Amino acid sequence: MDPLSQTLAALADPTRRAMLLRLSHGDATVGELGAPFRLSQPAISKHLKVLQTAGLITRRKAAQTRPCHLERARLADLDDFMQHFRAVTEGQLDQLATYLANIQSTGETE
Amino acid sequence: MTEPFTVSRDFKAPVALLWTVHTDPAHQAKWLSPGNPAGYKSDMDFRVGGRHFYGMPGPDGSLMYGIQIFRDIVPLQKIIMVQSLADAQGNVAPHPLAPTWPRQMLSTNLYQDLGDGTSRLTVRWQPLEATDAEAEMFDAARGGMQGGWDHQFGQIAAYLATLSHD
Repeated sequence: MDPLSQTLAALADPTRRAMLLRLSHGDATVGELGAPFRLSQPAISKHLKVLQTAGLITRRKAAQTRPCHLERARLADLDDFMQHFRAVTEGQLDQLATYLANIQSTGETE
Repeated sequence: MTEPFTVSRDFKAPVALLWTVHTDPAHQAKWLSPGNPAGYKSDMDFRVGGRHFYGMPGPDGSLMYGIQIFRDIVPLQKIIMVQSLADAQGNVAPHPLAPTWPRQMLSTNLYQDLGDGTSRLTVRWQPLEATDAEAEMFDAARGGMQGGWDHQFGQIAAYLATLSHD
């Protein structure tokens, strides 16, 4: 799978999105990340593994608690794609609405 | 088969005008490329089995090419077509940002008369003959496209907007 698809697949799960949101405020340990969820330790680890494989997070080796760190570049790539996508859907519909309004007000319907 | 992506919009325009503006390349140039209508290139064969090869000017002036092959046309009501990104020669090409984006998209446009001079356009996308990787990509992207990724993704995106893309 290419990096963008991996990022999207990782983000398809609400628990993983919540974990990323938490990490956007700063590094956190596995315990801190798992605390808000009623999930077993293996389930938490599995989610983190998906995020790690997608390159969305890294684990710091230095500290004993090995805190998780958000890798922003990967999310930025995804954001670029989504912005591009919105440009070709919502943007085009906006342009169509504007154009329809214009030609009706000027009576220029060709 | 993967779930389709659907987007819908209501317009303050009669359905006949919506249909014309949406399907006529002379109009398309003006709403698809309002900043540079002359830059929009279109080779349109608007009939069942016909092909539309178009090039849309990007922000840097370079053209993004696409192909539509019409499977069904019901005037003022419906168009079913297969849509693909293309290269300058009109060959199907991968998405520049997402290589596993489905090469062929079965796209259905529905045009509806809502009365009082208003109309609705509904666009439905469904990957066609998708590989596993394409289906996975589309499934994963659908949530984001549909705005269905709840509030969290919006918050992450808002946060991202405050960062520079370096």
